Amino acid sequence: MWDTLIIHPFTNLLLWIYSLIANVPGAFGWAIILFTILIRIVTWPLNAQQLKGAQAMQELQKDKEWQAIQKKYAKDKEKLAQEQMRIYKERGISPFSSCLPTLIQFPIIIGLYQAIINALASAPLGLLKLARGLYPTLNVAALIPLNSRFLWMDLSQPESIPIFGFNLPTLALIVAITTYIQSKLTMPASTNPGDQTAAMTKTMSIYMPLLLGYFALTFASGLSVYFITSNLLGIFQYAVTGRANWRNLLPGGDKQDKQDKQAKAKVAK
Amino acid sequence: MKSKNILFVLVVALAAVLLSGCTGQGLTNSWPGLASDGETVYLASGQFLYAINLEDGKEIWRYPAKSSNSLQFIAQPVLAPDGTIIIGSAGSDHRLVALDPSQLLSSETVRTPAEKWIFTQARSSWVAGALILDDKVFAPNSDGILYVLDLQDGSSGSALQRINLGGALWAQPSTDGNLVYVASLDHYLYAIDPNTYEFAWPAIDLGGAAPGTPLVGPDGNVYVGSFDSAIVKVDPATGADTLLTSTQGWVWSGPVSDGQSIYFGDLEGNLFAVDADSGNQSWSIQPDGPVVGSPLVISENIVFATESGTVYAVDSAGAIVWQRQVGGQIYTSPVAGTDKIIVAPMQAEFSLAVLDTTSGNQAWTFTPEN
Repeated sequence: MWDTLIIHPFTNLLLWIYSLIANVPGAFGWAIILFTILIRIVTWPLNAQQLKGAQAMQELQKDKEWQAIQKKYAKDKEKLAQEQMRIYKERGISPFSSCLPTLIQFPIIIGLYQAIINALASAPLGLLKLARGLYPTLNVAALIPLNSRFLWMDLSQPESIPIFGFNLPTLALIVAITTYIQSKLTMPASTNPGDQTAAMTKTMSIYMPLLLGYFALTFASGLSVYFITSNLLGIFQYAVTGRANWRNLLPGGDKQDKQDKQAKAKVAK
Repeated sequence: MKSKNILFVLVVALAAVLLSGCTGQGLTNSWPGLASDGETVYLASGQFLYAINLEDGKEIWRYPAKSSNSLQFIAQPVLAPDGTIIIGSAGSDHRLVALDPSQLLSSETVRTPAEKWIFTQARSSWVAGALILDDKVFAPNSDGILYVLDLQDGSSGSALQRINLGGALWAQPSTDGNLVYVASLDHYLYAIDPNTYEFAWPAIDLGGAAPGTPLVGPDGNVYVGSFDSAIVKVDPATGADTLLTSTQGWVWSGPVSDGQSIYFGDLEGNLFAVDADSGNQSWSIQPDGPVVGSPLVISENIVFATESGTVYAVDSAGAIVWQRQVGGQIYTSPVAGTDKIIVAPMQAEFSLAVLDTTSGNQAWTFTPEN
C-alpha cells in the first residue's frame, strides 16, 4: 500500500523529471529540486491554510471573550475544553488546520527519501525494487544507472566537505539554518503569556532545525537538497503573501515586536 | 506544555525511525552469495561467510569469527584451485579477503579460517564474485574498477593493474582463456586481454545496464543480457555484436548453456530456451514470479528459482519435471552440489535449502546460529 501510493509515484515522477533533463550535468539533483517545487505547488493551498489557521488561532488568543472564558474556567479543564470547542465551531476555526500541513510533510519526506534511494539504486535489492515499481509508460532502461553526482555531492551519500582534516557537514548546517529562518519568519509575536500556539511555534522553531539538521547529517544528501529547496520556497511563500515576520531574525527582534504591539494596544485604549 | 513537548519529541523520533527503518538501507541490501565445491557450501549472507557441510548441513566455520557492522557479504564466494576462498564485503569496510580454510582458528564458540591477504583499496562495494585465471584474480568493484591481483598476495598496494571501466561492476567476469569479459552497469561489455590488460576491441553498447555474467557459449561466442530486454551475441575474434533475441522484461543474470541452447530468465517471470545459432526461441515458460538468478543445468534438467520462492526443474523441452515451494524470495542463482541443488532464499525461515536433484525433495535447511 505504502509502495503503491507513495514510493512508486514519487520514484516514477522523479525518474520522469530526470529523463527530461538527463543530459544536464547534475541532472538528478535538478530533478529533486524540480520535484520539490512541484510538491510545493501542489501543497501551496495546504500551506496557505496553515498560515490562515495559525493566524486565526493567534487572533483568538487576543479575543476578550476567550480570555474571559479562560479566566472563568481556569480550574475546570473539562468545561474550558467544551467552551473552546464551542468557540472554534462558532468562528469556523479548525484546530488541526495549522498542524496538518506539517504532518503531511512527514510522509512526503519519508517517501522522497525512499524514492531517492530507490532511484539511485546503489545496491542490487534497490535496483530490483526500482525495476518492479516502474510504470510501463516510463522507459528508463536506458537511463539506469542514474548519475548521483550533483555539484560536489554524491546524492546517495551523506554530505560533508573536508576542511583542515575535519569533515564539515555543509548541507546539514544549511538545512538547519534555513529551517530556523523559516520557523522564525512565521513565528507570530504574542502579548498573551498563556498563548499556547505561540509557545508551540517557539518550541517547533527550536526542534525542527535540529531534527532536519540531524536527518541531513545522517541520510543521503539528496534529502538535504529537498529540505533546502523546500525551506527556501517556504520563505518565498511567506514573503510574497506578506506574512513573513522579518524582525524575528534580528537578535531580540521578537521581544521588540511584542513591545511595539503592546505600545500600540495602549495607544488604542 | 511539557506534555506537548514530549509528544512532539515522540513524533520526531517516530519520523526518524520511519525514515531510517523503512528504507531498506540496513544490513540487507542484496541477496546472498552462494557457491559449492561439491562437499562444502559457501554462503555469503549478512555479516558472515559461512562454510556448511553439504552432507549434514552443519556449520564448519564462519568468517569473521565475530560480527562487524562494517562488513556485509553478498558477493558470490570464489574458490581457487588451491583451496583459497575469495570474498569481498559490500559494507562500509570494502575489503576483499582471501581465506585459507586449511588453517582454521578456533575460539570458544566458532572456527574461522586464516586470512591469507586482505585488499582494502577499493572505494566501493564488492557485489560480484571475482574471476580467477591462472595466478591472477580479476575482481570487479562497484567503483567501476576491475582490480587485477596476485592470487598468492593480493594485499594492499600490490594490485597488478587497475582497469577503470566506468560504471559499477556487479557482474562476475567470465573468460574463454584468451580474453576476460566484463559486463557493466554503464551498459557496456568489455573484453580485456588478461596479459596486457588492453581492450581487445571497443566496448559494446548493450543498450541497458548489464548486471549478469557474460556466458562463453559452446560455440565460442559470448552471450550477455541487459536491461534493454535482450540477449546480445558477440564474436570474440572481432567484437562484432548481433541481437540474439529480445525478451519481455529486463534480463538480470547471465545465461547458461547445455551445449545446444542457452537459457535465461527475465524480470517478467519468463524462462527462455533459445537456439544459440539462430536465436530462435525453442520454448519459454512463465511460472510464478520474476527470474532474477541464472538457471542451473544439471542432470539433463534446467533448474531455476523465482521471486515467489519456488524452485522449478524443467526438461530440455520446457516441461516441468518437479517444483518445490521453498519459501521466501529467491534471487540467488541455484548451485549444484554432487546430487543436490542448493538455493539461498531471502526472508525465509532459513538461509539455505538443499534439494534432491531428481525429486526436488528438501534434504535439509540451514539457519545460522547467533
